[in-house]
Amino acid sequence: MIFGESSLVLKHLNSGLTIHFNAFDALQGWKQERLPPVEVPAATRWKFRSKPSEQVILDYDYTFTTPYCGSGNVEMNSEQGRRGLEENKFDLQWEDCEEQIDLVALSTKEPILFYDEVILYEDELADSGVSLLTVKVRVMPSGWFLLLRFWLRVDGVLMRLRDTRMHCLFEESTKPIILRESCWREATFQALSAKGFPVECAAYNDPSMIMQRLPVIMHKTQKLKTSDVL
Amino acid sequence: MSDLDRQIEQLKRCEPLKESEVKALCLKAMEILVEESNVQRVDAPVTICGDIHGQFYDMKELFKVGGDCPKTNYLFLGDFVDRGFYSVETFLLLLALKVRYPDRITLIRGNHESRQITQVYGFYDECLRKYGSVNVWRYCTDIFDYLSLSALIENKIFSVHGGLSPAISTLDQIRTIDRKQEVPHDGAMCDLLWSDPEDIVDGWGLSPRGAGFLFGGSVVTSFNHSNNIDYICRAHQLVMDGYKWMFNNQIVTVWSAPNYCYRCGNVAAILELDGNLEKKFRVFEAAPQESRGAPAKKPPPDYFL
Repeated sequence: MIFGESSLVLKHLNSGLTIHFNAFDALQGWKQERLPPVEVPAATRWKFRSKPSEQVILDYDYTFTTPYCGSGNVEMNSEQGRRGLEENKFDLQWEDCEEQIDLVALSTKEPILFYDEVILYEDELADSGVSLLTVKVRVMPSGWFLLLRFWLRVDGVLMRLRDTRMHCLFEESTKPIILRESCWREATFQALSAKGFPVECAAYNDPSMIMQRLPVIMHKTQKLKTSDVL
Repeated sequence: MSDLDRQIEQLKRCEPLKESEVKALCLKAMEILVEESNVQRVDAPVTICGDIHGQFYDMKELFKVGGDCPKTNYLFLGDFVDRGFYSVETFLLLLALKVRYPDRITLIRGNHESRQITQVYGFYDECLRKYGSVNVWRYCTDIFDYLSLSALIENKIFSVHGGLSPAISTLDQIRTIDRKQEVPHDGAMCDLLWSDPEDIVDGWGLSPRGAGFLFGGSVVTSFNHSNNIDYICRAHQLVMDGYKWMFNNQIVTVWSAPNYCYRCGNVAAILELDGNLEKKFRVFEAAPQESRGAPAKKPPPDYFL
């Protein structure tokens, strides 16, 4: 199910800077990445069962795994704006950085002024697991924080968690800094079993609870280049 | 009022039965279901319903639209449980109606009527939460093994949860299956509950998961022809308009869980067949929020990291 009319949009009015999250851009990422299909445990038996003419015909990544980490642009709203919409929109520039999102500071229970969670797409994988892309946001007096999460569990085969976190501190003295951290985790049920973790799918309903069991396969932190716009 | 009638009234208010009552009900249901054929004969008029998935208050909407059992004769195509909040009450109400009016309601098995699937997708947890033990889940999943695999309406309309199987070309082949077991991972019984029709495939195809068959139009044409049936009626896949014909009206999907999972925004449908097998799809929407005592729509703020 694609929730194509749902999106999360963060807009900085003075600069025209927009960061947004929507299903279609995420699915563009899925289309470009084109991972091979994940076979379920019964697949080996089925290969013997089916005739060659009945082999896989729909050979696509049915898990909808996406590298998506958000969309965004800067829209100039000055006089140049008259030149037409396409010309005055610029992509956001992110650069690798040493800073990390301060999760300790984010753990303090300051009041949440705004909170929401938006499902961008989800699929039941024909009752073989779950594929879910959601984005959550919370705004506090000190800043905003969001988590875009792609969660995949193919029952009996593997789990994938691709998280993108963004944090912006409201600081009057300095220019706002927006950090973006991407963390991809992945494990097969076989690997979990080898480590002595349970292998029943029912134990893996909530990615937040089992995240630590999935090894990190990619991690990077980037900072939004705001020098030109803010 | 008999105990059973009282239990039906209680379940209609979405109040679960006691564990001992569930046990007794399941024993009675077993005696009835064991006598049914794998291709259970159903007379018209009948109203055919697709997946319910524990959406109890939406099933009450279904009965409002379709009429009460036993006045209306019903055929449910499986997937009574999992995903929704009220799998226990939903399945027990249908089962109680089956025991009370065995000739006015037919329940066939869906792929969710399985021990393995219910442990992952909700019914097991719900039983544990509502009863503090898994006994009710055990009684119910034992009953699942007795549910018929398909139905044949007036020898003309073949009804099944999922679809066809390359191991099955005649209805007699279905009749020979020993169904009293957990749904297997492959073979004819598995296919009937799991397979899907697919436009892109002509004959048989394998799903991209490497298991699970997809069947195309020519397979349906030849099955319908050799078994002298008009069309196949199945459920199993969400269709946004509640029903969907494929392959030139040779197969129809009926889906009866409106606003599936409380967020998909789809309508639901049931298929009414009169005594002459004239078709009428009745489309309905989810029960209004205030009548369902459902959890709040918006999740509370959460200090996620």
